[in-house]
Amino acid sequence: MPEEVLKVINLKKRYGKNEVIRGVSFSINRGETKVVIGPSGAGKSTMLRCLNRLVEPDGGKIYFNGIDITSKDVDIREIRSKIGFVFQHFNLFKHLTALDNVKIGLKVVKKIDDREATERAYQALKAVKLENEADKYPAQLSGGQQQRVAIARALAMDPEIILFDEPTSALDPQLVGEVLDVMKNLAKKHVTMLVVTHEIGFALSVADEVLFFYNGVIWEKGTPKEIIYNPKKKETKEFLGRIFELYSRGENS
Amino acid sequence: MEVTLQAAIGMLLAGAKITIILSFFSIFLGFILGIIVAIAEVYGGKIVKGIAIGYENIIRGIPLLAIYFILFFSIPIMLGIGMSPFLAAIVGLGIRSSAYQSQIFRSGIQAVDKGQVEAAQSLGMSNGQIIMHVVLPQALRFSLPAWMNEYTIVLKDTSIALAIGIIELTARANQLVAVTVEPFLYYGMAGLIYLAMVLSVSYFAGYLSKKYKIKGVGGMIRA
Repeated sequence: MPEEVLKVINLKKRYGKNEVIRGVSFSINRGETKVVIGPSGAGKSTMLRCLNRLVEPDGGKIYFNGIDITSKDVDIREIRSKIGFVFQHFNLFKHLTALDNVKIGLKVVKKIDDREATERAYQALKAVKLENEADKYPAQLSGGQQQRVAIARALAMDPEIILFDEPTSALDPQLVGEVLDVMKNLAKKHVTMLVVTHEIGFALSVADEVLFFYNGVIWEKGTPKEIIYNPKKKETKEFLGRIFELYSRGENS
Repeated sequence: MEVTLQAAIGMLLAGAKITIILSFFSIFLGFILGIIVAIAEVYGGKIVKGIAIGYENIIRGIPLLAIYFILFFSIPIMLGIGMSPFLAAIVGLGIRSSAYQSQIFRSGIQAVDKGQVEAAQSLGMSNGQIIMHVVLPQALRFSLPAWMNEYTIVLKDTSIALAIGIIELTARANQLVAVTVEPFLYYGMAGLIYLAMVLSVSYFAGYLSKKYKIKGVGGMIRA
């Protein structure tokens, strides 16, 4: 039986009167890649942030390796160190080199000694093909490179799952490919991933399941082919229609 | 009465030495308190934040001379514990400066983007670790020009300590004027020494800004 890394049951979050997440349930097994798509403002980022409690959920349960991490007794910092998070705007530490960005979690959180931390950070940078840029500062790197450093920073912690929050949305189009390539590689190595993205091609090539997020709930879900080529619901069709229109316009121009 | 130029310069430099020592201890005390107040203001809960903001506003609302008189004359009477003039001078100026330094550091802390704090949280860092390893290293860099400016202010405001009997640079000039009746000469010389000290600090600030500039970020900041 497949092992559930993450199981979400009836997750809810509201900001004042605005109910952003209205009862979301899903699970991810070890080694799976799941992709979340959906219009802006649907609550995708908020949902992702609830999963490591960067945002406190108002209701529902989140089980990580079978442990309810919404419980107040749980040491959320320890849980977070096992859940990688890659942000839309990279969020690298600007005063640290690429290598030190990757090292800092190992040293400060995992208390690994400097030599081993350096070694592991190099390995992680190698995995994103940036070992030659190790001594550069974030501001000296391109957006794509910065995002790859951010992925290396998450990878180095040896997480059980990595959450991606629109990892390519802030990038110039010509830089999107290098980041997606790194992510596809991770998917092929069966790193467990939950990816919020608009990159339909990525979903088609590596996702085990696609979740269409709409109006604070999972409106429709299925295999990438089912959802992308043959969606059942009107809202899913409309959303994908807009995405395809955008893409084809890009091709014609 | 005649005073040789050499003797006068010696006296003024002896005063300048006290000025520098006083300014060092005061800026240091202000630094420690200022960082604590700034962190309390940005990250504290309602009560902690309220206390920090209250402290800052009260201190900024009292003239330094009054702070000195409170420390040196009122508190000994109220509490029965006295302070040496020198300690009172450091504490008074340090407290005053802490209120201004806290504003400098607060804006420095707020200039570190929230995304980096989120990233540090997602790695599993504690709030203390985030402040030490992510926020302060950047906030202090952002604060450096304004902080060096605050230091020049502290340096000059040490002169007010003469009111509680500290014989620093201005007090030395007073003494020379009292015996020679040549105010233009000796206050002028004291002024030049202050100017030289302030210019040195500004020069040093420029050097530090360059040295600690984060590679690839912005231009050089002039203090």
